[in-house]
Amino acid sequence: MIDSSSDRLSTHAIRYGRDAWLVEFATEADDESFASAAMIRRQLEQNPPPHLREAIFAYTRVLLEFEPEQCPPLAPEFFLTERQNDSARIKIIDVCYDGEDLQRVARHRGLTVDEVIEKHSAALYRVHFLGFAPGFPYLSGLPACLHTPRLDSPRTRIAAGSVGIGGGQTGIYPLPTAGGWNIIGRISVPLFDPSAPLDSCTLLQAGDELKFRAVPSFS
Amino acid sequence: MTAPDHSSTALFRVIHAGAMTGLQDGGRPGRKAFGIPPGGAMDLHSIERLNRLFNQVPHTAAWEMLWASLHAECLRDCVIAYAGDAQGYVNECPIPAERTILIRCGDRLRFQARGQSLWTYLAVGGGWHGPRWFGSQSVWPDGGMGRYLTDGDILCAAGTEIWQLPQGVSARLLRSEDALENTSFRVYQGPQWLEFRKDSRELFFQSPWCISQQSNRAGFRLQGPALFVPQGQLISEPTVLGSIQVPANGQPIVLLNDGPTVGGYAKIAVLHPDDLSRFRQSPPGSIITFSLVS
Repeated sequence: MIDSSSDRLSTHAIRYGRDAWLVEFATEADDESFASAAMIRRQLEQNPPPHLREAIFAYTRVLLEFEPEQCPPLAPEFFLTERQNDSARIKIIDVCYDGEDLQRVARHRGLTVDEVIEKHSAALYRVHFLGFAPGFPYLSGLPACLHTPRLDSPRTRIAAGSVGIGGGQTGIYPLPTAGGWNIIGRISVPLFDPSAPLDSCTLLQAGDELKFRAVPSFS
Repeated sequence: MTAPDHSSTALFRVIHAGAMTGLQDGGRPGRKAFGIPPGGAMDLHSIERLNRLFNQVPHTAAWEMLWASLHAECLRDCVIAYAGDAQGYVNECPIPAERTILIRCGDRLRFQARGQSLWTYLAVGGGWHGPRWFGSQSVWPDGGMGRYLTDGDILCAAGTEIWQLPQGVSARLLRSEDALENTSFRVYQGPQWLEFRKDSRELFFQSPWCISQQSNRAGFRLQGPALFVPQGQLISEPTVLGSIQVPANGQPIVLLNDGPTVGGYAKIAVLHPDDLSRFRQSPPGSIITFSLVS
C-alpha cells in the first residue's frame, strides 16, 4: 500500500503526444536510477493508473502510454518506498567466450584473454530495460577495465546470441543484425522467442540482475 | 496443376506476390517494454472501413500490399473487398474499391498501383488465415514473426463463414476521412521541443519536407533544410508511434510501426494519431508540411 504521507519521488513529467506522459526519474543511468525504476514499477503494478496501456522504462525515464484519448491531464506521481532485495531475480547465462574480437579487447585493455573472460564473468550486471529490438537488454555493470571502443566499421551481420562490448556497454544481440560491438562470446539460449507467450517470450526482464558464467563449449 | 485440396478454405493461389505483401491488422500495441514494436497496418483507417463492410471486428487482418501488384487466381467462390488508391481487376474488368465483390473459382484478381498512395488492402469476409504472434496476425519478418508473400503461396480464409456472407456487390460506400490531397499533418510538441533552437522550431513548421526514398515500415525519413540538433547526448528513451526525431544530420525521421522502441535522438514533435494513416500512405517524393495541434 502506498502511504500518502510518504515522501514523493522527485520526477519531471513531459507530455509526449496525445496519449502519453514521459516521466523522468533520474538524470544518470546508475544504481540509484535502477532502484527508482524498481520502485515505480512496483507502484504501477500495485496501483495502475486508469486506462494505462503500458509503462515502458528506459535508464532514466518511463513512458506511460494510455489508451487512445485517455491520457490524464496531470502525470501520475510516485513515492519513495523501501528498496527490496530480490535475490531470486539474479539470472545466470552460460557464455562460450570464443568471440572473434576477444584478442582485440585484451590487447586494447592490456589484459590477457583469460583476464578479460574472468572480469567479464565476475561482474554483476543489471537489466535496466528491454528495447530497441525484442528482448535486447540494456545493461549496466561492465567493469571500466573492459571498456573498449566500437569497431571502426560495423559488421554487416552478427549472429543472434553474440555477446559484445561497445564502449562502456556490454550486451547480447537477440536477432541477427548489423553491429559495431566487439564480439567476445556467444550464448546458446534464445533471448527472444516470438512463439512464446508474452510473459515468457524474453529471457531477461527489466529489473533482473545478471551474471555470465564462462563455459568451454556448449554440448 | 491441380488446386490444393488439403485445406477446404484455400481461396487464392498467388501468381505474382508483389512487394512487401503481408497480413496486417491492428498490430500489437502494449508490448514495447519487451522491445516489441506495435506493427500493424500502415493505413489503419482503410482496414477499419473494409471490415465495416463485412460487419466484422474493425481490426481484422487484411493483406497489405506496397504499390499493389498482387496477381492471384481464385480457388473458391468468396466475397472480397479492397481499399486503397490502386485499381483492382477481376478477369481484366475494373472492380470498384471499398465494396464487397463476389469472385468465382477460376477468376483472376489483380491490382495496379496508381501512385497516389503506398498501401492497398485486400479483405475477405471472416478474415484471412494466418498465425498470431502476441495477439496479432501482423507479420514482422525482422522480428521473426512471419514473412511476406511469395509467388505460389496459397491464401486461406480464417473460417468457414465465407458462405454465410452476403454475396454480390454491396451498395454501401464508406467515405475515407483521409483526403490524400491534404498534405499538412498535425503534430504535438515533442519531449525535447524546448531544447531545439527557436529558429529550428520555426523552420520545422515553415519549411516543406520531402518524404525520402529511404523510408519503410520502421520509419519515414524527411528531406529539407537541416535543423540544428540540441547539444549533448540524450540518454535513450522510449518512443511513441509517430515520434519525429532529429539525428545529427538535421534531417527528421518519423518513427513508425516496425521501428525501434527506444531512440537516442531528440524528438522535436509527435504526429497526431488521427493523421498517422494518411501520413503513412504518402509515397516517397511527397511534399508535406506540419502544423501544431491547436
